Amino acid sequence: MIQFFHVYKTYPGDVQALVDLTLEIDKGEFVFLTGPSGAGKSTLLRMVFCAERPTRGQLLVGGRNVARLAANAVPYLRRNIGVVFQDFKLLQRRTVEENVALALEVLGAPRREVRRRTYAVLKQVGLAHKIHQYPPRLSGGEQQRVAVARALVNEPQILLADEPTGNLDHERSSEIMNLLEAASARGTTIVVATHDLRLLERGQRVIRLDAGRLAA
Amino acid sequence: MLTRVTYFSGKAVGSIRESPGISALCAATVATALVVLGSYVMGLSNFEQLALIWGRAASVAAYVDDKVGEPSWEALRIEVARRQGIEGVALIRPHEALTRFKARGSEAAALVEGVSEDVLPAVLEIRLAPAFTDLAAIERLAVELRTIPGIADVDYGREEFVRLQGLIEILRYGGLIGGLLILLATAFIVSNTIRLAVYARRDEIGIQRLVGATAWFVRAPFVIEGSLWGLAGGLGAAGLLWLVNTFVAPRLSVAVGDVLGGIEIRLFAPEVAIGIVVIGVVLGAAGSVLAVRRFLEVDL
Repeated sequence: MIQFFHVYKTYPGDVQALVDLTLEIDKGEFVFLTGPSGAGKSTLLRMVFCAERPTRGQLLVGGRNVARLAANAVPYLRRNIGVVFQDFKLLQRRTVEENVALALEVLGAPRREVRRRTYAVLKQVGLAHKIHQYPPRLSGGEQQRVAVARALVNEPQILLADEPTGNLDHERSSEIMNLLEAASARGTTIVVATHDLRLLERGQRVIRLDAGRLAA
Repeated sequence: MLTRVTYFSGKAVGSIRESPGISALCAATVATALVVLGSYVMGLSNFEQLALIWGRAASVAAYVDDKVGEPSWEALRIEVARRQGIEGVALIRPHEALTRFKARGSEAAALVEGVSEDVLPAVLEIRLAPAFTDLAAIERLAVELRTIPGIADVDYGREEFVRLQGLIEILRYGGLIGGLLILLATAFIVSNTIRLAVYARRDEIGIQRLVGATAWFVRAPFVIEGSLWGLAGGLGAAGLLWLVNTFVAPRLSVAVGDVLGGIEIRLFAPEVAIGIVVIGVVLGAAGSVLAVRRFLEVDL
């Protein structure tokens, strides 16, 4: 599903974020990406959803070469990728429903379909009763569940999560991980970048990065 | 397609409702810029009208041949008055011409002291129709008048007219360049104001791009919103010009009309108002497209 072939990413000032990275993540696999700060975890994720391009090497996402993808093709690739961030990135002046529905609206889904699927995914993450609330009135754990719902609502092939539990206590973190594992069980490829060593004990594959390289 | 248009329009109207202050600021900026543009166009139109009035004031004079006796002068006046493009013809008899000349002042009076009215020809003073302001047409008329038996010569102040035509040309082309510069400045100001509005929603744009929105999906509500701001600004500007034209222009015409050759000052014209509204809508839409462009790349 995701294949890196000798990928390099160098930022201005000769800052090397990824160095000769080669790795493969299979369809439906659940992978933790770990390593110290600056190891290149976020850069790797940003490359998968095309916020960054490789400086060198090839990156295939769902069989498409991201390094050569035309700018106007990027939105269509992203529709198959859900992304969850540590700081949730919810629109504060939109309701929970509107935040989640956005991912379906960009697809041009009919309004009735949007409402039905939005409600279904919010029910799945246990927030159907807060559908008309605004994010500032929700707890951190609830906001992250809304972010997960937004990432999952259009049933993406890949879900990327960058420190999704970084702002949550252990109990809330477990809730989020349970949601991600449930999505994985339905066939979604999950990649979670994390510092949280407790999460790594859940038994999934762990990829360690250090200074932009795969660590042993 | 209709669903999409409804969706984008709903988003645009929702956004205006959500940020009435920013929307009012954008519409006011468009209105201000368009009032400047509209005033400039109307000012130019008034100046051109003034130039034409001055041009017509230098009326055409046809000199009656000395051999034509006084009894035939009136018949000649009627004959000339029949020509196309002529609004009126006044017969100036030699003694009237002399009196007029003396009335110009003491120096003029001294100049014709002792001059007999017999040496002056009778003159047909021709007033041209308002639309008859083209030099070539006046030249054609002069040639035609010279062919009338009894007309010795025709004077239409060719040099003054050429100078005036040059002035009108400068006004037109200079006005075009000036208008374009004002339009560019307007576009720049409007685009920057809209950019402020778009900047306030950059997070929303970023998230839309993250979930797979195309550039046009992001742009469309802003384009509609910008068009609505432009429409409001254009209508506001046209309304303001209409108010000034209704309540200020008549007083201005009375105050300066005599000095400026009886010009009726106009600060509003329906075609200018329509132009202003159309330009407002186009500026609003184009300004939004330009303003959104720089926020299309996700930086999450």
